[in-house]
Amino acid sequence: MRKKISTTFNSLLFMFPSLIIIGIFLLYPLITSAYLSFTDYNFVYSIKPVFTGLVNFRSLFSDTYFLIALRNTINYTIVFFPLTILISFLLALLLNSKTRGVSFFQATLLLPIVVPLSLAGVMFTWIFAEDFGILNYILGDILKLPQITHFWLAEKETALNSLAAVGIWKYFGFCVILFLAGLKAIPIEIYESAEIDGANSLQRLIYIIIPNLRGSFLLVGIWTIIQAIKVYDQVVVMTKGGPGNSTLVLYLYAWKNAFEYFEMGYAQTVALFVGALAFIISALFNLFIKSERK
Amino acid sequence: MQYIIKLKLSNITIIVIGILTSLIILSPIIWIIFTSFKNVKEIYTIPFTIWPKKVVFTNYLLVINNLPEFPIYFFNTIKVTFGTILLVLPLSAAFGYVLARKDFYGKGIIRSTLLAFIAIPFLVYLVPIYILEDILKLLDTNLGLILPYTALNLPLAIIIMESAYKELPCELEEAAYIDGASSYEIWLKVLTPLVITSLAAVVIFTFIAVWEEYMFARTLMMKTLAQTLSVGIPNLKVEAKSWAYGTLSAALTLSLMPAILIFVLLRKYFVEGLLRGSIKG
Repeated sequence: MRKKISTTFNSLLFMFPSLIIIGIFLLYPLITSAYLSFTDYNFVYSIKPVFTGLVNFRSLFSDTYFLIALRNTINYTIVFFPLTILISFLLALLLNSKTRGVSFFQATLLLPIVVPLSLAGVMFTWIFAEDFGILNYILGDILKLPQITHFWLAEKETALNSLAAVGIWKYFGFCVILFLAGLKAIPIEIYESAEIDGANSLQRLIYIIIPNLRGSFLLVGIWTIIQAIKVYDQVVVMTKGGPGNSTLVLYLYAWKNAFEYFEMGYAQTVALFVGALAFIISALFNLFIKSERK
Repeated sequence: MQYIIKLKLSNITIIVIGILTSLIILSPIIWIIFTSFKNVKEIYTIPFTIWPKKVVFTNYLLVINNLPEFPIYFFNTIKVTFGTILLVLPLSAAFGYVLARKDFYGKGIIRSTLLAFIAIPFLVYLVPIYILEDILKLLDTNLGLILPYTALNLPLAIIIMESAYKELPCELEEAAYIDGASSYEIWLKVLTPLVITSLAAVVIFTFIAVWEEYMFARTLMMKTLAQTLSVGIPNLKVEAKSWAYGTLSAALTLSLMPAILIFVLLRKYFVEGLLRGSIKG
């Protein structure tokens, strides 16, 4: 008992600076954030937040723009999530070998992770540009397919998908690495016994690799869904939510409420909605992983 | 014999696919780098050239001479990145150590709070931190980014360090304790040298997180004087100042190079660091 008190005191010294920083910049903001979402607080006109109860939460689902943002985020996820998983899984299968040079390819696949998404946005704005953009040049002038050239970022039909392409470019290499880690963890004996039983590659894929990669699929799946919910950087740089709100996503809508309309209370309600969504997904994932380990 | 041929063929397929995908991935970056060495006329001439007809450095000279913002963005990014790493590294190591090795009151609650913080997206903190920094007069200062970045990255770093210290055998600590070493000495001199790989992992994922952070940087730093590369370079486009592809490609190349160089030199640690950081939502 006495010893535990003195250990507690001693440990507190080790944790003290971190606790201060976390307290001021995470815990306090989290508490204010919860409070703000129940208030009407215009940062320019209001002197201080006015408590309004559940008004913000109720207006959320009758707010057309919020629903547009929710739909766009879902549409983004529908493109980003399956493509990232499919591409990275197939590449991981191919690169899961001891061939020399494979580690070099793994490194190049991972390189986009150090390219800031906002700078990738600048790069791709140029690549997608109507004139002097290389994508239209390749499609129209080299492949002679002018019918599939687009004003990629200026057309409602292609803008969101173009943003998803940037997201896939940035993140799929990382997913390859996650899958490869999972593949390496499959014991080699399983492959060998399958070979003796005469299983062909497809059978090995369906009966051995995929079931043994459950954990990796979960990890990559949840991770990509959360990245999709959090999409923001390239949207701001490339389209700013346009054309005609076709790329207005949840993060951007929360940000705009706060820093364009200065409605801090309502912005925080939107942010909490997004936060709760991501939090629930990660929490479910952690539960899965825990039950898996037991 | 047949088996060897089959194996060789598949190796070649793997290498071909590897080269092709690497090319696709790298092509945007290669395109930017090559363009930065072309003269302006060549950039705007169709058909496009890939390799510059004549290598010129005019675009780089333009960035250096006519873009006084560029060095500001660059050094702000460096200061903020290294400032954050210098805080996160010792703080997470100290915290992770007591969390792994000591039995104290409130440990369970502290640990679950940290895990909850890891799962909450940064957006939730943005507005409150903005209001807070407005009061504390931290807006438009380097410290105004370093402190929130430190706070946002600490929980994950602490959990990574905790699991690193947990893996070490208890005997080490007991032996040092008998020799009369204090907890501080045990932490710094006996245990920490054994968790260098985890410390490297923490450095790597903090580096990536801070280097590319856009939303906080954009919101909290409104003045050019305080902005970082990830915010400043896209703004050049808005101000129409250098949205000429020549200067832009040179500025982009210069902004990307430090991180790419670090990545190439330390790529082994990047894989490790990212794998350990992958639990972040």
